[in-house]
Amino acid sequence: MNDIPERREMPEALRERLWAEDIEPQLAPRHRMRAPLAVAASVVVLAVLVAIGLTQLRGNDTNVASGQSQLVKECVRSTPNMPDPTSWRAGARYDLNSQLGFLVIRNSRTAAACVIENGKGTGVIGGPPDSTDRYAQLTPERPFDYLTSMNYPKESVHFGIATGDVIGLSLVGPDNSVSPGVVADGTFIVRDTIGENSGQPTTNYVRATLANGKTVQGPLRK
Amino acid sequence: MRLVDPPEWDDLPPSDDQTLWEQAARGDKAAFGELYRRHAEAVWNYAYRLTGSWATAEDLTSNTFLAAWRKLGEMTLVNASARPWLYTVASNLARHEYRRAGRFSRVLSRVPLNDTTRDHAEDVAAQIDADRRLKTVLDAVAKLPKGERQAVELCLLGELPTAEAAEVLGIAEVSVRARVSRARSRLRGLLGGMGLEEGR
Repeated sequence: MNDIPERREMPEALRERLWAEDIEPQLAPRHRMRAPLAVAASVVVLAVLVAIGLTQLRGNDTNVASGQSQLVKECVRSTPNMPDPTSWRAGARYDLNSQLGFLVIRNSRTAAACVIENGKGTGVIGGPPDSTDRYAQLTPERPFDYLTSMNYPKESVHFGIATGDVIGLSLVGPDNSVSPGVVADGTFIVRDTIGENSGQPTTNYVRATLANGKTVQGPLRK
Repeated sequence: MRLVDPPEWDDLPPSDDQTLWEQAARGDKAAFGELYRRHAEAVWNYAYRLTGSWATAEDLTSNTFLAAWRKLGEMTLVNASARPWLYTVASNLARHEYRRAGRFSRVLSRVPLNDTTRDHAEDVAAQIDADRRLKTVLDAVAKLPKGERQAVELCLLGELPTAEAAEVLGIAEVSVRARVSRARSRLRGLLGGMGLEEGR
């Protein structure tokens, strides 16, 4: 006895309606989510105070997370299998434009970058993070680490974590251009005009400024 | 962009799913639309078999493809067909999103009378009976260990070949067969006289 119903032919009108009304209108411009693992990053460190960094940021909607619990909920809810759903809080946020932005969410162990489309958290880049305690792996010599990137044809937006005493962080490109990042609650976002080259090691460098005024440098990607 | 008589469909040369996937990952909505056109019916049927509700299946189908669009750039399609991956997305959404929202459990706990209204050609009584039997099966499938449940969903509800299910689950094909076999035994016990057979 077969209790699985027979397949039905999908009515063309239904197929069309789902596409035209539910799916196609919500297809935001997409970008490659993660640079290939083959890309290595060579990184330089640059001392930048938070205030300076924020004022130098490109994009007009950068802000430190606050009152963004709804976005966090949306990010978690829209990402299947997100571990410890109630443990997440908002970190750094960067809005590329009025339609597209990013919010790093974190808990005590790890963090993840969430895409914000039209003011709604629509999912974590790369899916739910694994169980690795990434914050425990940060050291005084390397108080930051890479999470993921959004790669555009000529630029990238990089996401990462940092220790609580990192108050500023920048990327320095091969042309010595400096791209200040947003740092908030142990997370950071940097928009770099130097697009990642998937076939070669990156030439970007990182500079992190600590609360005691010292700077630490190291590769964005280990 | 429309699905009916869209010029861009006709202009598309026949491509495999992997090519379309790569094009869609670069932002090509027409390529993604072609993936939708190819797999919407299968996902819709699969979604019904997961939820026992045609109305919920519509919602789940839309959300599956929207989730796919968001994920395109993050992964490389390992199967020649996108269908196994779409099925896993649908399964996860059904299990986590719909259950979390309470919709999934409500769907499983009632006979969806309203869901049959679109299908005027079907005998409503027969549909209710079919839905009720499907609900019983789904309740039993939900009680299976995770590995067996995944195999049952993909191979029996989704009618995927075991090789494709093995790839998307990341296990050997023989392991998929073993899980399905074990699941059948459990389901026989859970369902009594009812059974769960592959559709083809």
